[in-house]
Amino acid sequence: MHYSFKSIILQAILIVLVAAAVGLAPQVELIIRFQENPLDLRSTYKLQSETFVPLRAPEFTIALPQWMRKNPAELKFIDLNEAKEYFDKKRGVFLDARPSDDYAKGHIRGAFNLSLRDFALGHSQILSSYSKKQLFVTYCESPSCGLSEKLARSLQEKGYFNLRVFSGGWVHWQEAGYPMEGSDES
Amino acid sequence: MNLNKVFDRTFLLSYVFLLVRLFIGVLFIIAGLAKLDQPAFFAHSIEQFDIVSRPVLIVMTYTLPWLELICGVLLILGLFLRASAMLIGLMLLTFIIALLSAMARGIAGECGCLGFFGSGRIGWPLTLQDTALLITCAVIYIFGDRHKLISIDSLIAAIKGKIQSHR
Repeated sequence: MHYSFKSIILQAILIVLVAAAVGLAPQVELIIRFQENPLDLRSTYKLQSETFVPLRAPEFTIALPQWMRKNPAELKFIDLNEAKEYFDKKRGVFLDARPSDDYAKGHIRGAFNLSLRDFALGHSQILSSYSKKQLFVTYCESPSCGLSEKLARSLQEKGYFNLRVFSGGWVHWQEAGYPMEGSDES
Repeated sequence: MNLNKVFDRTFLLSYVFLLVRLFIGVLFIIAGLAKLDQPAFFAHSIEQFDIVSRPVLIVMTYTLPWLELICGVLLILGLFLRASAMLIGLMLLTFIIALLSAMARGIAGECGCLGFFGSGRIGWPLTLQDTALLITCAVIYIFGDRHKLISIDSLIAAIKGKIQSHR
């Protein structure tokens, strides 16, 4: 089939439009939500330049073999509701990134303590029983403490790729009155 | 089957073209899937080139992987062969320009260009690899009319030819 140059250009434009429609259509709602309220951290990713962008993994999951994957530089931030969902469905292992005395006072029920210091020194045995695929939810004191994110980044460097950062942290969890344990519990 | 025809030079060339087409097609399908699988990783790699603004970045993050995937599939099917070769070429050209500008500005890091393919560090090896792919795409574009063994384009042409001969 011989196509003229003009029809080739038209075909190319058609292909681009289809790609844009297929790629952007499922994300429209997410992007609008983000434009209206950039502080809503659901389904957003923090880029290196400290800016958040609305990003969501595609609805369908592609079971890509491991060799095809780059270790993702992605960190997903989740809010209280999502964290509770992970907790209820037992989908992830919670990691408390705070120092051990804070952890001892109170933490999310079932969470392990993995402070950055312990992690860096290799003192912790927690990780050895989990595969790299394990979903971990890291948290620290409050949205402004950076420990949970740092811990997640360090885990990433070790090859764990299924990571979530619960940005609300202990403060939000406690305020909501969700299940917790520790010496201060009363 | 006429053996002479099998060893005919242009016929052999058609096979080579088919292989090249399949190779590029599979490569871009994998690249597209790898990016679709990890949009944030891809966004990171676009971001570090520091060329586009945030709205453009979001559009690119969601559109480019699909474009690669669709072009790869079309290339394998042989439908809109020249158009998809042209689009892949344009994408590669953009990657090469981005790579060169990043190198000129001393930016080093992972390039999300082909997902898993190669080590993916920004640098000359990657630029050369993309240039080689670009040349291949140019070849597919230029000769796409003459060599299109096992393609939907040629099927359409054959059907059209039959209809016309019946008239």
